[in-house]
Amino acid sequence: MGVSVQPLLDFVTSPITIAYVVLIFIVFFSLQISAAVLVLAERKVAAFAQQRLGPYRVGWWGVLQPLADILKLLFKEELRPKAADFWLFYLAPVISATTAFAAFVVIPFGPPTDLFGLLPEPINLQGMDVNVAVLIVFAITSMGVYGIVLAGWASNSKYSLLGGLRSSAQMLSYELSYGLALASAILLGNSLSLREIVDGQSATMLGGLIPSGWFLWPSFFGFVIYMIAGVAETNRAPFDFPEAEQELVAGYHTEYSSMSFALFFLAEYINMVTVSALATNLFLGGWHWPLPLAWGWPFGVLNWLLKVAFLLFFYIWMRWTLPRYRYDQLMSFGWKWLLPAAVVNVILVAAGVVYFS
Amino acid sequence: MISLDAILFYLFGAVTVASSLAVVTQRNPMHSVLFLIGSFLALAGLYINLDSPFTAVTQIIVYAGAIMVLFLFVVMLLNAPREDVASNAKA
Repeated sequence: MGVSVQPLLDFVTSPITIAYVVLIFIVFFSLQISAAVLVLAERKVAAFAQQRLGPYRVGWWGVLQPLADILKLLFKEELRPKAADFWLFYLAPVISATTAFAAFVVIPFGPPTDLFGLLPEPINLQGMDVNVAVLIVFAITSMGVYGIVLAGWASNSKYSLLGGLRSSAQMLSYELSYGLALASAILLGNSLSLREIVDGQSATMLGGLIPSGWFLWPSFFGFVIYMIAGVAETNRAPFDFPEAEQELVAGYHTEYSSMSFALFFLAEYINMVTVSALATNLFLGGWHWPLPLAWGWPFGVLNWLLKVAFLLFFYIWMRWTLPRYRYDQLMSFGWKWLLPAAVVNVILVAAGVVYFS
Repeated sequence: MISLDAILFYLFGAVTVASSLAVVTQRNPMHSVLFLIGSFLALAGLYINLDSPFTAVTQIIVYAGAIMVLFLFVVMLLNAPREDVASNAKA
């Protein structure tokens, strides 16, 4: 036995394995912190858009407001409707949060690094490097719909059920356009691995002034379609039908309180981060521009974070600028405009790839 | 000596078989659908164990992601009641 356990022990105690475990913890906690920061950012941007101050009493400039929100939610009573299905009612928020976190594990956020010579060989700055990363993100994101549908059904309330039904119809419709927009980037990158797709966008023109390698340029409509479908996938305004306050009280999470509500809340913001991070890697060149990578890997990570932050700001900006669509408008837009546009975009990109290669 | 592959195979295999059994023994059709999803996910785990991640991801996207949402939709809209033994015996 002693002989056969040795390879396993060597694997567990090797610096590379430990580095990856630490990396996964860092990604996990960064995601949670990013959700907290986003809550504050959303309220501040909303306040700016509506010409008011927003939260400013808790901490300097309101920076501790998310912490206060979390504490408030922790101390609230956990209520469950009498007619609710016990297991599914408590399973639904867990599914939502789990899928939101799990989708991020394959997303790279920086160039390979040995952490200033700390490690014997460079590690990739991502939870796990798999060669079907794009599809894994797509698959796990599509599993997220179960959380919302089950929450709607298990609550046994008419508003929740309507919210759940709307969400499943909306996410199924927009998933097609979302997948086709992903396909255009996959065609351009000639790979399913996010790391290879990002490294295919490193080209610059005029001595690093213009990022000519970005897949944004050959597939501009792919990017626009991706962002629109991404808003619908994450159930954000102007496509926030599953929780349209004026029509459905709060939609699928009407009956949830305390921490199970907080899990839905967390999942929504982490899904936003995932969609923005994927858009950065697929269309905006990941960590390759504007700061040159020759300066060192932390600048690559900084590039990446700046782009993701900009896309997240764009999301919040859009929410507080555009009014909600009507439900039939959402469906006819998704099927009659977005899907044909996505198909045409994929065909054009594919033709371009064949012609220019 | 049992390898890690074998341990994972028995683990995912057991989950697949157990949740497939639960699909046919559950009274509530909603729970049946969810156990079927669990069975598909464990099957995807078996594919990954066989070094074919693409098949696994396709399994999740197509079956667990698309087809089972339709199943769930239909079961929710039909509002199927709990199945009991008496109504089966009459039929």
